[in-house]
Amino acid sequence: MTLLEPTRPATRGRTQAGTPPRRRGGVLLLPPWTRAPLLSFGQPAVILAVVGAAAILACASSSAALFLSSAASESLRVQLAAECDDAAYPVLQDIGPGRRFGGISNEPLPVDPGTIRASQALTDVGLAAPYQVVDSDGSVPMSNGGGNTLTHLFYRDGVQEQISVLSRVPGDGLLLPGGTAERLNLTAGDTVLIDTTAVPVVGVYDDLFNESPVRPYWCSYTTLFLNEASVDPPPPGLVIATTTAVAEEVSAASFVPLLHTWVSPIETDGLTLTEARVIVDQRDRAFAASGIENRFDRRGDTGLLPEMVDRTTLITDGLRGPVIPIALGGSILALLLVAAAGSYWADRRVREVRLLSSRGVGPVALAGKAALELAIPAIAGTVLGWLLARWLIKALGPSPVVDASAPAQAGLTAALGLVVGMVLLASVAGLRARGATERTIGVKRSWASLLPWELLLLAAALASWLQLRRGDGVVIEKNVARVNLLLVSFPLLFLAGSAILIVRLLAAVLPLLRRRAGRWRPAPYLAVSRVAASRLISAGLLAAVSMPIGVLVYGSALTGTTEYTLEAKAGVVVGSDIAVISVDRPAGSAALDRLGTIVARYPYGSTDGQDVTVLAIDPATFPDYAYWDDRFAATPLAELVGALSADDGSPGVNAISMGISGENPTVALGMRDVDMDVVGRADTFPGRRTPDPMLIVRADELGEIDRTAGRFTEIWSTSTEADVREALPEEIRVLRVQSTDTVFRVANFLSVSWTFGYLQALAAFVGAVAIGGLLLYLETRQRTRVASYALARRMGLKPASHLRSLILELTLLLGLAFVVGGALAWSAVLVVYRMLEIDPTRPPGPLLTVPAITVIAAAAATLAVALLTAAYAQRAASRADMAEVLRLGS
Amino acid sequence: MNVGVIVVAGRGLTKTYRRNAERVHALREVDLSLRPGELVALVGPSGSGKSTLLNVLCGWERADAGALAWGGELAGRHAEDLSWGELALIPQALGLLEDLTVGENVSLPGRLAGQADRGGKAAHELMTSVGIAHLADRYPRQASLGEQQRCCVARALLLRPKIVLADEPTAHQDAHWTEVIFTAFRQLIGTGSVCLIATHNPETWGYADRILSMHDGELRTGAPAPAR
Repeated sequence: MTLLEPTRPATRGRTQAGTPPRRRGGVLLLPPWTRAPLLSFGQPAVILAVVGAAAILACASSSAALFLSSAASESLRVQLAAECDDAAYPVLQDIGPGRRFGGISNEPLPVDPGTIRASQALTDVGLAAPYQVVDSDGSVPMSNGGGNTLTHLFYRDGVQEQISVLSRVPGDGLLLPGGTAERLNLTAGDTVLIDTTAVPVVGVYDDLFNESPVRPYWCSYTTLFLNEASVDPPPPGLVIATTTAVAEEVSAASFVPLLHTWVSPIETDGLTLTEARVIVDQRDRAFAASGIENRFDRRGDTGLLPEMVDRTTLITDGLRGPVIPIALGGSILALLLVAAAGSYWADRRVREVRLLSSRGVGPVALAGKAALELAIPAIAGTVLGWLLARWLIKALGPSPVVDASAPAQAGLTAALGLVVGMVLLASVAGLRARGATERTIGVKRSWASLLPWELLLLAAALASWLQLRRGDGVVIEKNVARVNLLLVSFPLLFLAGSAILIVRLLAAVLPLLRRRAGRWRPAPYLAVSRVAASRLISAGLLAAVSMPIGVLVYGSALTGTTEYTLEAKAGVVVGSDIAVISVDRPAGSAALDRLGTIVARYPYGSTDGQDVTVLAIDPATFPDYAYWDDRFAATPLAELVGALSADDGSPGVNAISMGISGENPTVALGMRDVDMDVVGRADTFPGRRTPDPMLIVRADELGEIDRTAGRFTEIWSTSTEADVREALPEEIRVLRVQSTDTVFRVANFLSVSWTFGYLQALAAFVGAVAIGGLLLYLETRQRTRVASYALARRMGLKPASHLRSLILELTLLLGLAFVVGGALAWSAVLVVYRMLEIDPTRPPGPLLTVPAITVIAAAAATLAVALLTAAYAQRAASRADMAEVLRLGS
Repeated sequence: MNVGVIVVAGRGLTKTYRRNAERVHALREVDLSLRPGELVALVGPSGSGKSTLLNVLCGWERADAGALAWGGELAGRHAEDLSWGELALIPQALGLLEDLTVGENVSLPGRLAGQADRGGKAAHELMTSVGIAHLADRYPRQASLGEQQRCCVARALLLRPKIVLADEPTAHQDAHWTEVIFTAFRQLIGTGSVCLIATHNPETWGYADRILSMHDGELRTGAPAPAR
């Protein structure tokens, strides 16, 4: 049955008899259209809805460009922070034999033409005037006529201000480090022989390895004076030339070529990828113009910036794959809200729309009217959304720094979204307006609406998962991890399909619930009646809210799992927060016991031809400091380590085995063969640094092992390096310090966290869309609710009962959405988390992490939204002017 | 004010609105008395103040001046405190709960008043009498406007209220259903209740015991003079 109210005239669109003739310009110049842009200002609720919807759409569509740019900046920043300040400075480098000037002179010497060309080339392309570094490309032998020693020749502009000079005589020549001067028995004022050439020693300075901390000036040159690889032998003495001419003379005399390096300082704070690319390009042009022959294939000859740019490009390329589809998905969801705003316009303008429709105005013209009326708020909303996206990326994005072009690019995307949004908004408004005039009732649902289309989504999710099983969840390319797009598409398809299917099933159960509710008290009765009566809206709301909750739980679970697994891998490599490693054998002391546990590492053991590492530990202190997760073994660490002290009467050494399948292996350690009794097993054990199996024994039970076993002693501590160094006896030499912060190149894994972070942002955003939809739904139904409430109150419904019914209704819907979304997301997480292996070479595998804080926060937010919207609806109903509401047509 | 056997009496009721700069006199010192067992037609053109008078009587609007008093069993009460069993309404906008079926809407007053039995048999009888029993399981949106209006009438009559205030209760009815509705009103007033029916349809005036006409906020006894 179709109700036509009022009846559409048969002479649709024609001028009726008696009506005045239209002005030139036709129907488009009539007031409904010419005044349209101003009409929306009389409808603040519609303006708000359109501005909000357009802002969310713009925010979604423009965020991707800003996010990718922000991620690139952060990736650069992290890489820069891990290196010395000058590591990324653009560099020109050349090599050549030194020139002879006929002895060291205190007179000014002509500047090297290479330096002039290099400086000119760098400044010509817009880079800063460079400083110069000159050092020998190999060791320079020096002697005092009797003994001799190897040295490394070095010059850098301003070098004499960056050393502690012990003695000095005037003039140019060489400054010897204290150790070298002592070895050659030379003092300031003597001469040193380079081959047959005597070069004046004009000073002696304190060896740089004595300085702690190292001055920032020397940060990039520590390998020249700190031996981080071994304690013996030390690096050659760093002999400093007071001028480049001295260095040239020494080079010529020793026949050791010189490396000339010109370094242009740049500002690295807030460096963006585009700016970095420009600098790399400038450096390459300068190199081409300098005439330097390209003879090198070494890292230092360009500075690290090109490598950083390449890595950043790789990271952002990895991010782009999942981020663009996520942003697109978010934009599509936002378009739904825009469509809802169009429908809301038609509801609020129903009287005028009916009048125009009855006068023969069709849906296309009505859509045009809607577009004209809503254009200004939509544009304002788009600008607001673009600004919001910029602010969100600045406040919450990986980095507040974005490329200069990114906002404009984001603006273009937002403008495109506006155009699509306006077309959709106007279309929905036009069709809805037409529907308000010609309302069809009692029509059977079409067969198409009864088909479970969501099964297609589930089939696509299954296909994604099968494809995912064939590959890796995380793809490693040039050491940079990036998330497989399927790891993003699978959950979205699975969540959407499952949520709709579950909601369809729940909707089928609602009539049963409704029948039961007939015997309940007014509040639950009204709540269930409302939910059941608007099955389509309830189901839509349920699905719309369960999606963001699901995506949020999925994203945060995988982010948490990635980060925790990375932390666990680093913890396993180091053994604790830090490991201070020495080849000496510090005895245990009360001071050390307070800071950490002593572990002796024998990395060169073997059993049955297989390499094996043996860790000799102190069971009393080990569990307090070793990194541990209960998923590493079937038994807790304390129990596992406690088993090492069990007296089983066997002559073998009790051992915990990791990776050895045999029962009781015999391990060759140095000159000894040690029989092991395996008393416990672990899948993963702290201190594992190589793929070899490990055996963990009690240090006192293992006894003395000779030096050929290659023992390292490590202090595993949760304190700082400085504290441990202070607690160590003075004679103990620290070989190196390993910490969890330095195990991984963090930048390589950033894209994994960022991908899921962006997914979570999408979830929060979809949540905003759902809340917007909920408010529009409430607002649209507010009028009928208020009228119903007014009369129900006259019938005896208490305000508290009405509020309870609203709370129950919204809590029922949102609570169910939370449970459905959370449960589905967790199922998806359980299916995929094992594929999230970011470094297969290092145990443990992915450790599933429950995003407890996110789940609690989402639950609290869901409850808060339910309570606030219920309170809003109740307040609106209570404050309404009943007399006005119940007047017909008011 | 001594109202005796009068159910409700209003004296000097005045109500003005401000619509932009214009001052609208909705009620001008209206005097009104309603007695048990009478069906009163409140007639007048649109905008004459009929709905405003009904709103003042049911307590949704307050008069700027004048006095309103309830008599008999309702003596000393305020309009807004009266229950559905004492004062029932049939508003222009109907105010049906869209989430309840037609049957549930009719029986809702009984349910909320704790009279579950009324929600069953009496509701069914009323729905049958106004021709909507077959729509009991439909939602209001699945019924025609006329059917919705009869649902609203049945809901108002369910608890046999002392007074019914109805605003254009037959606006969407044909002659047959108009007669059915007024028959239902007459059955109610037979039990000592009073019905005040706002209507501008002269065909319905014949069902009334008394006619009050309104014009520009003024209330007069009798039908308005026919327009020339």
